[in-house]
Amino acid sequence: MWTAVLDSCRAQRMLGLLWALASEEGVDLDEDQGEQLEHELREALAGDLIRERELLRLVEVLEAAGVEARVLKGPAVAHLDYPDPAMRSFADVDLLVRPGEWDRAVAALCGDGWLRTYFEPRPGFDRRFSKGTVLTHPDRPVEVDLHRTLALGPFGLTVNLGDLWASGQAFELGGRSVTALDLERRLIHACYHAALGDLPARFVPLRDIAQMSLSGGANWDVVRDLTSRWGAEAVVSRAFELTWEKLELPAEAYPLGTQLWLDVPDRQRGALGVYLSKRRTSVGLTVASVAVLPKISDKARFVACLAFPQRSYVQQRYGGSAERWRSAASTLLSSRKAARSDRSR
Amino acid sequence: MSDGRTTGDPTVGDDKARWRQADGLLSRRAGSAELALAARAPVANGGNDHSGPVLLSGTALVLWDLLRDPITVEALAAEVAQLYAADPETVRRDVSEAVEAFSSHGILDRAD
Repeated sequence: MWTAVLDSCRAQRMLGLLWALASEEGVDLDEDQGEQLEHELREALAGDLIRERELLRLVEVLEAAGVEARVLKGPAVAHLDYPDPAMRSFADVDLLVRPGEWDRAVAALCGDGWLRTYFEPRPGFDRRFSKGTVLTHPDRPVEVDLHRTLALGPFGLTVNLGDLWASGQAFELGGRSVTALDLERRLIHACYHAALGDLPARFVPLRDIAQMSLSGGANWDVVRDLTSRWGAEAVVSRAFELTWEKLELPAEAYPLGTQLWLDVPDRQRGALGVYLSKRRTSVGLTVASVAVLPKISDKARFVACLAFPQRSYVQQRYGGSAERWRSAASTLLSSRKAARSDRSR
Repeated sequence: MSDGRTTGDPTVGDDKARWRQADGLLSRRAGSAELALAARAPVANGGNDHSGPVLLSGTALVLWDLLRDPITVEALAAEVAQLYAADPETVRRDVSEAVEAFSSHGILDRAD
């Protein structure tokens, strides 16, 4: 039982919360359990500090190239939303850059030895359409998630990127100031992570939503306005429902319908269904993405980039053209199978 | 994580030098210990920033807390000797080694 608790807290990056529970709330652990927890906690926090040092280095590399970055997710939430950053561990570094500075940002990082995990389908695709890109470095112990927007697929494409940058919140890290999204934007981002991320949803973003919502600091009018402007009512509603259900939070603190009023349009329910379906595939997300692109020219460009990608992308992602078509056929078949299974249920 | 033992800083032997926790530290309270990591790789490590955080626990944590304000090795040793009712000369040697180790990891600065 204890091993399962420890494993689960490690996987959900909640060792700091478990430690706080044990030390402040008087949860009884025997000596071995206490030592084991402290050892695991130290390992996790040592990793966090190393990632923070890398984050500072990355921010400096980007600044030197004239690129401003916003710190997203783990490090920002740990320092700004939790009473002690030790309560919120994280596994990678997430940075947001402006689309207009995207190419410069990627070039600066590649110049520093970072390598993209995948090439973009065609030049300019990431800057215009993608969530972002992941970069790794042969000599550095972290993975960088460089973001243009907050999510993959249609809900990422409807985020107003100007809004994302309209406000920020600075915090001190290693003797210098770095900037995160402000509280309302961080909260909505956590909702994207919770509602559109892993299935089933991980506890980390749910815990973040609870932490930010119950802090009493969020301006719910701003949350509602941004949610509506970004066409994300379905995302935010689902995230709050999940959070209150999974964490068994008190009903009287539930913000939906009391502090936060959201009407979810039907077309958003359809788009959300693509993310939540067992047949969630890149094909499904692509089709749903085309539907939300406002301009015909963007739709055409988007489809053309994915239908006729450059050779380097195909080679790296699939190992060759034949493998790509085989993979597409296999995806199509499994999608149809899953669709039949969904219908029969 | 590191226990802080590396090659040292020659200025640690300077009795008048005052030391304090470095600016620009990344740190976490980790249960009964503290982890500290220099935000920038220390020059003493030849720019190598692959070293992990320093784990400060037990007496090292006591020393670390005393180093929040500038203090000489001698004054540090006197405080620790009094705290633990230990032989001042032995403590002086241990404190000096600890300061040297902290300094080489970039988590300690000369205050003057």
